[in-house]
Amino acid sequence: MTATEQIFVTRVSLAGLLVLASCTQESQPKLDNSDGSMRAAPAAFFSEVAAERGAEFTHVYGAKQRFWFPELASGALALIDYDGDGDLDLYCVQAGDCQEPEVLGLGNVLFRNDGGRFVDITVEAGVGHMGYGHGVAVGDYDNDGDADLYIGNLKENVLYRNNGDGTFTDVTLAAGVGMPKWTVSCGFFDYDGDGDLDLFLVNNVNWSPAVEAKCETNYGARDYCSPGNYNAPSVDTLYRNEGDGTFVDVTESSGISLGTGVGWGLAAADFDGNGALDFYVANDGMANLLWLNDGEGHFTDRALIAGCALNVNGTAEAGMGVQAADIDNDGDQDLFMTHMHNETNTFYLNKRGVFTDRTSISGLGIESLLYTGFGMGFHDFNLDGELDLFVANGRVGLTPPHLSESDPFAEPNQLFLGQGGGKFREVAGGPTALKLIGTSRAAAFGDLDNDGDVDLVYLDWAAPIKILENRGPHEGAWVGFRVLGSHGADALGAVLEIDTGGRTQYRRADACYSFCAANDPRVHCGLGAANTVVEVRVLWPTGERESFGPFDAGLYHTLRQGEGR
Amino acid sequence: MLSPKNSHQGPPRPMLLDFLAQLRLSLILAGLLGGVLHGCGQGPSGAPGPATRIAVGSGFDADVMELIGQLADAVDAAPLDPDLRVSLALAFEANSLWEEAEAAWDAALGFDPDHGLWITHKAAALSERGATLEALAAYQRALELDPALDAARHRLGRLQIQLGKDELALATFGEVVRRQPIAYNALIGMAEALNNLGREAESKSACERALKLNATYKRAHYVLGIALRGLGRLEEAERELALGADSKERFLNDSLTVKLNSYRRGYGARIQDALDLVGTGQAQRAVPLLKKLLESHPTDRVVLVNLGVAQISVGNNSEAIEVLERALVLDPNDFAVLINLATAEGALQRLPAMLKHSQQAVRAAPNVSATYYVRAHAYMQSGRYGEAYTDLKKAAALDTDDARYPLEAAGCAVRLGRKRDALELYAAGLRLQPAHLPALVAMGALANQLGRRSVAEDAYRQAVALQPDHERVLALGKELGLR
Repeated sequence: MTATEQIFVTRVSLAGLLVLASCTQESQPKLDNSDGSMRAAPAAFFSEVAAERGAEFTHVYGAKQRFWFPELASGALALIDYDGDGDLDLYCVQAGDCQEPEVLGLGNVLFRNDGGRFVDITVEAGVGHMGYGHGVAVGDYDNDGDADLYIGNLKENVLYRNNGDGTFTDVTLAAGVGMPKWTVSCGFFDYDGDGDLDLFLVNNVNWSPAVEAKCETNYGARDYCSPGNYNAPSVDTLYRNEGDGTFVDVTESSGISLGTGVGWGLAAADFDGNGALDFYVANDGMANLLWLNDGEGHFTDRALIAGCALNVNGTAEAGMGVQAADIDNDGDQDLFMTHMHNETNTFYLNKRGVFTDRTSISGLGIESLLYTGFGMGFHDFNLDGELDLFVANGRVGLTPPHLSESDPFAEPNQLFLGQGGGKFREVAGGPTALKLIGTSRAAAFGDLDNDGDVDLVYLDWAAPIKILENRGPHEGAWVGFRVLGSHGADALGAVLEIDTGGRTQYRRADACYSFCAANDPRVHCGLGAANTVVEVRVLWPTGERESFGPFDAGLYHTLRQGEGR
Repeated sequence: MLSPKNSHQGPPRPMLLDFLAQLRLSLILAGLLGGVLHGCGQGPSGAPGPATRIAVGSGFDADVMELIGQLADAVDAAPLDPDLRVSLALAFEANSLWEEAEAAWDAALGFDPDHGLWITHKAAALSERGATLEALAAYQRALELDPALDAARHRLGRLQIQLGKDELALATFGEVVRRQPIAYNALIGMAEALNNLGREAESKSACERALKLNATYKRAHYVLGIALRGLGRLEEAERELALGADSKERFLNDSLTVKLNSYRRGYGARIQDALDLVGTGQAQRAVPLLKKLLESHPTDRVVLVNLGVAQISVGNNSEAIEVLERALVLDPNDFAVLINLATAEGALQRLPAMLKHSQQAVRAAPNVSATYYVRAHAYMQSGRYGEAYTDLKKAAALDTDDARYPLEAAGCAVRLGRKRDALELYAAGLRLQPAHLPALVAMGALANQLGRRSVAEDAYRQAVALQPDHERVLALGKELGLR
């Protein structure tokens, strides 16, 4: 070997704290809009109602001052209609203690939605697992008509089969999905088009207390390390559903094992338009992975050439949350992901399978530089026919400036209103009238009160969860669709072309996006000036196409595979 | 959060990280800790105010505090001296203390509000703390005052790109290039704007011009990759994108740059300086920097390992082993340490130690191709080609982007008499690195031996296209009867 062939190691220390003098005494960061215009007018879209609705759940991450890496982004949230009564129930995944998850006696909690009041029915349902949770997936893996739960933990994961009577059974062992790696985001998808849901797990670093490092700020205080300090990127996992209640680990045979990373976020869609479901993994400080499916169940990472491994500068960013959505409404699936402060959140525009980093013209770039984004979701919150964006922010280190005296990690969350064509404008006053600041992580999106607009739940680190109820103002009518495959389960991945006469909106049935969250699988669509839907064309995950409609606005409709034209 | 790119690294290949991005030296807001000190450009009477400082006892990097303290004392002793104000501002800027830098530049500008260069530096501080539009206006003002400030123009172009104003950015970078035809980084700014405007062919030309001026500028490779992809030349694009991964921006220097760099004091700044030196083939200069850092950070893994790397780079393998063994005490399973240690031991022909440490590296990081690569070299140096071949194949399976693995595995296969396997491996390696002359020649000769005439002739033609007069190419031509 030559002398130029050595390895450089990663840096250990994190931020420095500095006391300084200032002329202006300004205490809030200033952000400019990219086009120099004023920000969107304040509009209090959301009201925080968690306690009012009875959903009292406080995230606990373990002993303070220990600074163990998995603590940083623990906890997860799922919206699941577990009892099939048509409204979304809420499952909160707890952390607890890294080393002994059960020592604090805190487990996951299931809240049943009783007409807007959330009731803790964890014990009756039997889903109070204690496992230092980080991820959650919802899907009807056994095609029996009810939603099952999979929980990604620091150690062994858990699969709860829904018994259909309000209770669940832990079938992890029988199903063969008790992955012992540290799993974060995870999701059910039918990658092989055989009509049942498979399972993809994003695994973070290969962690144990023994590999913990001592990282410090420049002023000598303990702080969290970055994943690079562990030198232990992991391989993600793909389980194929065998259709008999069991899964087979196909990580090796599918080619997924050829990529490593420090993954947090997961998205799945047919990015290259070949009719097969692909996977995208947002890695933290490493190149992202785009697993293109050849349709035969074999995957190849093509992120670099596709243009979504690194940002426009050729730099790997700290990928956290991610969503695949048709952000510019042109019929293909774009990507957006959240990152660390000093990095922008990044918008990769897809044109026929080639991604271009168009953050700079999206209105989502410099607006995000000061914050560390985690959970996020594109939805038409104001029903004007354009996708909007909510981003949950919160730091991962003691990096100044601190925006809250009580929580050095706290940051405000952000709301952006879609302007069409993949451009956005930040709402100046933030998502809520009452300013909320916290260390936000997972965020799950769905219509909790079935009133046609999208609400959201987010998890604040070491704090109570927040439910943001969408109260408008709204700029149009709405329509919603439950999209069911031929077996009766949600057809996750189905693509809808919603034709309102003068315009087509492209939406997808998707539950797996954001950060460590499972979301409402229904398709929500603001209609803007339109008041009816002429036709809905569905591309099913199995490859068939059907048309449905017309449909009235202001209602949820069910589209069943095989019942269309 | 950042991490080494294990999925893409070739072993043992430098894993340079953007150190400053990890340090994220930033600022705590004034008054948060009780308004410890105050420093503004102007006092209440309009006279120059006291110098901005770092609070004593805040625990910040001692070297930075000492420098700032000295300069602030000097400012307070001679408050009417603008040069001292500039020095203090540069010291803040050099150590990424952006809000203090902004305040200090304001103080300097109190003496000369129309000093374009000082406004440029204040703009950099504004930009770094997120005040993008204010920074944009400041750069424009600086250029109005002094149109010769190409450093300001270059930074203005970068901001315009960030803001999606690609036509403006193209004009701005174009003006820099018109004034400084060798400004390769401005050419790349033009190329980025051209890519964004869908003018990939022009972008490609700009990148190629930049690479002729500076072939080591990774960003040029990355931007070229984007252009080639837009032109549908996917194989070339992928290669360039890989070459350009983890690139960093390089700004134009100005007349304050030398002084600015001389004020880089913080641990992070100096580590980054050292990494930059090693990464640009100047390890000799990095060694004393790292040794000095080691005095104040004797158990710092980063310092120890990078000093080890620098020592290996300059051939001081015994010294490298000494510091790497100290790093190994901190974490016996640190695969980066183990790989570098084995490398140094290999250079000194200490084969048992090399083998031991490379085996430990494999155990510590079984998913990292670099570990197998270094162990393969330990085996090869011991004449154990079968085991080396296995390890190289494993490395190639773990990292499918690195041509060295299949090419070196091909060499082992030849030694093991597995000529057909070797031929396949050469072909695989050449798909990743088509311009690898020795591999082309070796494949041509091997294919000829195996009776694969067309493969041999094809390899020969490619070799001729690369270096027609190379001794080995000529020999292959003779062997094939083509010369």
